[in-house]
Amino acid sequence: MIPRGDFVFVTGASGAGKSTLLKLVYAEITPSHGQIIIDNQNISRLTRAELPYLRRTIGIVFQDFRLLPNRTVMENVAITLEVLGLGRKEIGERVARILKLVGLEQRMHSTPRRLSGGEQQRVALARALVNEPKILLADEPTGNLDDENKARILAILNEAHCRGTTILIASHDRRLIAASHKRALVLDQGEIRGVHDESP
Amino acid sequence: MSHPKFKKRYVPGSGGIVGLIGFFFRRSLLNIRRNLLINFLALLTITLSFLIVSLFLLIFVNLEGAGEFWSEKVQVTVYFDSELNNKEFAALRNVIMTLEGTDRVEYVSKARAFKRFRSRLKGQESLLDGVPQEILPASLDIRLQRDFRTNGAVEAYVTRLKKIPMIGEIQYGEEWVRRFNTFMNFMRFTGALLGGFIALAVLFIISNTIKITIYSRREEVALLELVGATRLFIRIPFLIEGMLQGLCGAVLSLLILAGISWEFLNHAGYFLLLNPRDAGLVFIPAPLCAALVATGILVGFVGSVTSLRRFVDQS
Repeated sequence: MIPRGDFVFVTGASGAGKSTLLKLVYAEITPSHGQIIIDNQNISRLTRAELPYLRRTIGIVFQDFRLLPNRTVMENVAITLEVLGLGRKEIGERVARILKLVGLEQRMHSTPRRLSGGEQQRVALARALVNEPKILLADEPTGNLDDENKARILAILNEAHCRGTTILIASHDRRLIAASHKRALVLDQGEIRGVHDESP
Repeated sequence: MSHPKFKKRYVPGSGGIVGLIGFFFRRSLLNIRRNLLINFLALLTITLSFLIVSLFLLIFVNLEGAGEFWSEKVQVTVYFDSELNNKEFAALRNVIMTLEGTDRVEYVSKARAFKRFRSRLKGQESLLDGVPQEILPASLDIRLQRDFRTNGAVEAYVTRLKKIPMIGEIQYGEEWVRRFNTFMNFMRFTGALLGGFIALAVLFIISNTIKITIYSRREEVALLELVGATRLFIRIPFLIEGMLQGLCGAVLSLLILAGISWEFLNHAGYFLLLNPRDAGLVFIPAPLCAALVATGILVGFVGSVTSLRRFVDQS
């Protein structure tokens, strides 16, 4: 169980089921057994029509970023707000605000191809956070990034956590987990084998 | 079971059904602008496909028109040994006009028949020098209504005509009527067959073109689903885009064809023996144009629906 407002890492070797766990939470796949309960709701029982409204409460950072290559940074981030049907002005303001927060306000008109890996990761984070989700899921958010970019990503995640977002991160980056001083669930073959609590 | 926490929080384009339509329409236009190249290529393909259909329709309509013109030649001629006076002609005409299928009855006197024959011998009128004008019989030319110009209908008409007193020898060019109707039936059958194949091929091309435009955006569709887009939010703009592509493709093809047709009518006289302006060539009639545009919209809609079923509904 992950309490509301918690910041938890899920760690384990490749193939342990970290990404699968995240996919279960945002209902891209359904559990073969067991239940995923969010806000006292068993999400397996949600209808197809209700699923989008669950996903609007969850921000997701994918391992491969999943940025649209032919859209600008601004358009990539705005997509999360567009599905809500918000007006152009409100979308513009909120996107500008989040891009400033992740330090990409100067790159808002660039396409992802022109960005570095770290910048692309921050765009993906901005897209996940722009809707101020209740839950943030991130799959290897610092994979292949240098230390400076890792620290930057961690700072953004901490800031979201401070605003009340529950954060669940799949990562095998031990240095990142150690630096974050957060709880880490150790997965092995789809089961939790232990908990490392490095919180102060 | 309903889950109130994950119920709708915001209705896109608030402002009733009109606002909703406006919202989705704006999104469709935005999507087209964002994917300009693929949409341009799709529009080009759809326009060219419809150009083939509309060109076929144009040819077919004009061949039908020519057939209609030639079918005017299907007429029944009743010959008389002696001239009819006005009273006799009026009485006979009234009876014939009551026969189902009669369109027009015209009296041709011996003198008029001779004059008409003479005019057909252009340049060789001297052949008739010394021939008395009364050599040709007087006659009634009966033109039949459009639906009575087929082989069977003409024969049935002649049978009924023969029952009228005073009617003597009748001729209606049986062989010509038969050949003409055979040709027209062949042309219509071939046209329907060819038109059917063309229509099928074009539907296939257009439907697949729209499929490609949606397929090229499958990553975007997948992402939209993961960030919480409803099925309507994803589907409706694609449906509108498909219909817009079909509509624009059909309208553009008609405009291009109208331009080509106009140029042909104005310039073909220089390289063709006949002047197409005098040949009675017409453009595709307005109802057919409207049907073509409606088909464009329908094909765009159906193409989008089938593609979405594949790329969105099954994801």
